[in-house]
Amino acid sequence: MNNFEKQLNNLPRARLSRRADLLIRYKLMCAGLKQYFSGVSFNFFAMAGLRPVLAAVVILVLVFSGATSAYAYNSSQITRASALYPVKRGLEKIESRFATTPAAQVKFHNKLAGRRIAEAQFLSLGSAAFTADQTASSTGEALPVKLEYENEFNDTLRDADDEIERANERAREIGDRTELDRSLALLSDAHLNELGKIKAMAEAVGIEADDRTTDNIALILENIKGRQQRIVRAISQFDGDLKRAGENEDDEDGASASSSEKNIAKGQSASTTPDEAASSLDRVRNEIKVLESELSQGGRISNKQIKRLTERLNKKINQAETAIQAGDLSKFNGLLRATEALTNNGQHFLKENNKEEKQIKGLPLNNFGDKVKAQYNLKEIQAKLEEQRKKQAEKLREELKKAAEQNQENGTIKIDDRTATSSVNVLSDQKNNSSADQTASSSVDN
Amino acid sequence: MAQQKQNFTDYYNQYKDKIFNYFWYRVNFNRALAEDLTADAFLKAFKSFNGFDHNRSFQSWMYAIAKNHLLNYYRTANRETDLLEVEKMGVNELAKIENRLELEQAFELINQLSEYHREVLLMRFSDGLDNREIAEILNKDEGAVRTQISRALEELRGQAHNA
Repeated sequence: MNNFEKQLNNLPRARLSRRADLLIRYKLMCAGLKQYFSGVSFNFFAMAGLRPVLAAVVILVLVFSGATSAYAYNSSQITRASALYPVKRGLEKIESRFATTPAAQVKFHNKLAGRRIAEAQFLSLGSAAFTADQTASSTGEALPVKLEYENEFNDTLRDADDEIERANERAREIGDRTELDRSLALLSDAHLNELGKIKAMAEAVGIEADDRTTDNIALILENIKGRQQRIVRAISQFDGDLKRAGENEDDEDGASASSSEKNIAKGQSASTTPDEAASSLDRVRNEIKVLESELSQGGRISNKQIKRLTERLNKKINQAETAIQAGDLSKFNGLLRATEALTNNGQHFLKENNKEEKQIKGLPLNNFGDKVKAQYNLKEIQAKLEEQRKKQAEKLREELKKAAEQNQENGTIKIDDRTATSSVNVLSDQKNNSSADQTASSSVDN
Repeated sequence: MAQQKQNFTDYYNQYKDKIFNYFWYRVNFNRALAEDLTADAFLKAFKSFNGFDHNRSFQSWMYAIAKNHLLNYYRTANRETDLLEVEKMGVNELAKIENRLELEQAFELINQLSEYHREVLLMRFSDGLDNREIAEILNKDEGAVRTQISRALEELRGQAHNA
């Protein structure tokens, strides 16, 4: 064998397998960690005997954190100031990633808007119970309502408004006709649902609440009403588009959607000149007078409440006038918008005679000072508000249907069966949500 | 410490196959066993890495650890005197796998060499180390290693001629 040296040079070389390589790396990493923690007096690796205990603790922590997250996610009592609120928002953020299509996003943002409103409702209810206690234990007359969690409440309402607006924006991105139709129906139902809730909230807060709170509620009511009108117009436009498109079938795909989109866009325009501003001011002054005369009729509302409302409205008008005299159009427009919103929705803040006192008598009179105890009668108040909300939502729905039918007779609008069906679905969903809230509140009570 | 760990990872990436090969040739080409021994050797090296003099060659340090670990393994398994037998088995196993007659003959011849000559030849040809590296690992003079390899090859040639 003359070439054995050559053979020796060609001896086979083996390589470490991938699996073994990973295993060695893992062992080295563990050794590294062990070395790192060896300087720490509390050595986890030395606690071999405690491993089952540690495992049990880890399992308990996982189970507890899972249950806590589920509670945080589902409960409307977890509000902005709660320690668990970031958990709630974090889970919602994760959930948002699953809503990939515009239609799914419309649904998702609607859901979030509903959740924010439920949180605001909880905050306003806590305040109502607190005020009721104070009122009953003192003079028996209504005291100025000061929301206990005013900032939290206002921020939550603004979040709700943002979510509603986001849902509308997503609807504008929908190109598919069927999807757009469904989404508009969903938006319409959601708006009605939200309107009902916020009106109930306005009544719970009352006209005696501070300016910022009433302004916020009035503005969100106005925004939702405006959006609802635009949705109805969009459905009308959409229906007209469909009829026209029937002749050309698929040739105009997207055209109907885009024309409907325009109708969802914001329509309010602000005053741009002092003349326009002066005319707007006169118009709002007249609206205030009309409102005052309407409210005074029948004696259902106490003069004190009407006076309070008109005083506030006139104060705002005077401020707006001062702003326009100073040439500050932007401030004027803001004030005018707030005044109009409160004028159009002022009646929701007023309580009918004798109604308030009956509600107060139903509540326990002591220890309502803190938030947790304010929840004590949450079920009762929620049930009452739920009933009111249902009635109001039903009434609005009927009004909308009637308006749609009238328009249909004129050949301009048609709301199909799906709209009505989804209205019923949304109402039943609302009922379920309300039951879930009640269950949560009863667990807190216990 | 993080810097040292990073350095060790670099060394590991550089020498893992060489050390595995070292064990593989010496444990009957048993891949699973060679992998276990490689892992143990690197863990030992990692634990002692703080005391490693970075002016020295990591390779020779690592081979020294691998060699000691292999001897410990043989001692534990009561096989320190059966090296020859193991390596004969290894040749047969390799022949089955590779089916290369000349290679088998070469291994048979290597296994007939004295232990010292066999070790230097394996280091030189199976582990691919040069004379200086072998000298460092065996703690010998480079010239002495060169002479030993030369003599080992001469001995091998003699055996080949007789065979």
